[in-house]
Amino acid sequence: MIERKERRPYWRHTKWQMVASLLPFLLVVLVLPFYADQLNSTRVLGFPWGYFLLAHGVGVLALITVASFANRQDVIDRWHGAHEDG
Amino acid sequence: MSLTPSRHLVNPLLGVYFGIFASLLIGIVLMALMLEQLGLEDHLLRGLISGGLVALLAGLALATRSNAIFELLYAGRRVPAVFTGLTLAVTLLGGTMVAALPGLFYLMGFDALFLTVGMTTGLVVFAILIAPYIRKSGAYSVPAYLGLRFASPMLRVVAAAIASVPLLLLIVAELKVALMAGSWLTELSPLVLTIALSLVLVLVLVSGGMRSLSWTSAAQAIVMLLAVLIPVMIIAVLMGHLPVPQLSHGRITRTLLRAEFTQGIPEVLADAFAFDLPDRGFEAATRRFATAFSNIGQGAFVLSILAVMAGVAGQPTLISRIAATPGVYATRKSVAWAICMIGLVFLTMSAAGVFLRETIMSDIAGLPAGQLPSWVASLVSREWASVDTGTARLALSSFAIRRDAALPVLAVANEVPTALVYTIIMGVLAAALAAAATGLATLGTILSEDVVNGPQSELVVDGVRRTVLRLAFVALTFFAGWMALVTPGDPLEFLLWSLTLSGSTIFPVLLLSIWWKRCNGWGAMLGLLAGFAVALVSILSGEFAGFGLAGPMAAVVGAPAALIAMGVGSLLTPPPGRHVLELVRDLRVPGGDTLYDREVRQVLVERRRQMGG
Repeated sequence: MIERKERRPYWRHTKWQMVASLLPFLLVVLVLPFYADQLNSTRVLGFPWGYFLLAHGVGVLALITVASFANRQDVIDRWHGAHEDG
Repeated sequence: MSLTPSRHLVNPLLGVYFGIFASLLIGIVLMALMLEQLGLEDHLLRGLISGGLVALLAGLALATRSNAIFELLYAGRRVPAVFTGLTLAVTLLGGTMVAALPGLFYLMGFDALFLTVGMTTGLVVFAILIAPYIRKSGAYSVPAYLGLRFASPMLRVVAAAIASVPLLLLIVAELKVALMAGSWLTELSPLVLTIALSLVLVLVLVSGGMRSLSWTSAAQAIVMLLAVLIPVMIIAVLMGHLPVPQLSHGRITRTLLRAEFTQGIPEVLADAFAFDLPDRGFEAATRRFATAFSNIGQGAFVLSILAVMAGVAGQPTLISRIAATPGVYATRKSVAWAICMIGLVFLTMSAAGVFLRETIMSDIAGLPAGQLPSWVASLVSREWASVDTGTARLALSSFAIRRDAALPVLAVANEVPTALVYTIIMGVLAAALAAAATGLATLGTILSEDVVNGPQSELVVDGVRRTVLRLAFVALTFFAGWMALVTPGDPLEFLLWSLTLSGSTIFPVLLLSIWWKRCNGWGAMLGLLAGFAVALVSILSGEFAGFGLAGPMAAVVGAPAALIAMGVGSLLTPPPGRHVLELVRDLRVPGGDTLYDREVRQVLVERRRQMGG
């Protein structure tokens, strides 16, 4: 069980982890469409580059983002004694 | 009222059970393939596949029956991360997406990515900002969570009313797709088919509530994955490529783009906020595959990604799914699994779209009108495609398909055995039934727990809660079945409206309820109402008055409206009391009891004291 004085540092740490996980992903997803047309003139594995990044790249990036978030947040939980029992 | 047992034991044999299920499923498909070669009649083949699916689901539903209230509401919180990932994936995709996405990729090419990117982003946002905290609350529905978080019974009822609108749209969309797939697999009349499908749903929901729903949905997710992935892998091999269509369709894309260039298919750039989605009737591909923003403008592409993202992150059905996980850590992992699975499905769908275009470009485009391949007649007779033979030579635009039949069309065009075509349709049917059942379970729980028994359903006797819940499931299933039968319209459009409505109402309120301690019940209520009103006006003006943004993008105005209303409403009313602030602090820490269990325990102790006094 988390100690009372640990609550504030725990939440601060959690907020930073949230920003560090979410911001890069959202930036990529929202900026990429604006360059898709130019990127499409290059080919990668036969795919137009812009299409490839949005179809394959976003999926892989999402998986890495959520998997690393789950991992990092678990470490934060344990560090502050906020983790689940068992 | 009984609480969840303190030790949530996950069954160690789950993998074995689902291995047996997958083997039985593959056995049925292999048997159908062999019997087809031995000359089994078409209607018997369809009967074997549809009957096999229904029998497996019914068996699983009966094997997981339960009477305990904590099993009926949140499956005893014993569904591990991988299986929750499967159920999240099938709930999110549903039959609507499985049926429509290959067609959207075929018809729109690049622009169909707004849906896949929006849904993936929605899951990332859900995993990081929403899901772990809702799971810590222990609530099994959005209204129950909001009622608990803001200690406001009235908010619980308002949230129930508002959440029911996107849920109903979602259920009707999925049931319409289930009816479509069912009509391809059987010769039953629409009314009989609706009754038959409703009976299957009732069996799944009534036998064990969330428990039977979770395990049947995991099984349906396996059906969907196998029925989509394996036929497309086989088609990739038939087209001379590696059986990894998700990566190997690059070479076909290169050939396709060259062919599109030589055949003079036009490059078109849509207006920045144009949003032209193919409907479910016959549509032909008229624009180049990889050209960005030819149906959906650049601005609309980004806005619709945001709208779909908000809708997915606030989808009430996903919240009822994560309520069944064993803990907060398992919840985070389950969303990662869901992303893995939907990513695989999305890439397979885009490969299927490319394969279909390439097949049409090489087998039909350029031919004289009288020399059509033999499979075209089969597609036309099934009403999955139509060919315009008015010109001397055929072009890509001469061949129109039904958007939702693109995957079966691809299978027929590549002349794979008919049993595989029916397997694909079985996958669509399984996904549609799973998503419809989850929608019905969520809506049924809201109706019984938050409205009929509410706002303090925890005090009601278990027997009454069980009966009301099961009656709500039965009544809603038949009502939704009737709605799906009589409502005209496009299921994909219904789904997008449902997403945009939950993105305008539930997502912003959930977001602030977790990340802003100062917000209160009045603010949340105002936020819900403002988001709903703005989104509704935006949808109606975009769809029917031709003014403003297209309907599916309504969340980009609805969600900010809800956030502002919630902020203003909260700041203008008194701050939350100490009890609520303590709840929020506890919500943010994964360890310890869930808030729901703790509150229920307190209520029960208080009641006992009163009765003793």
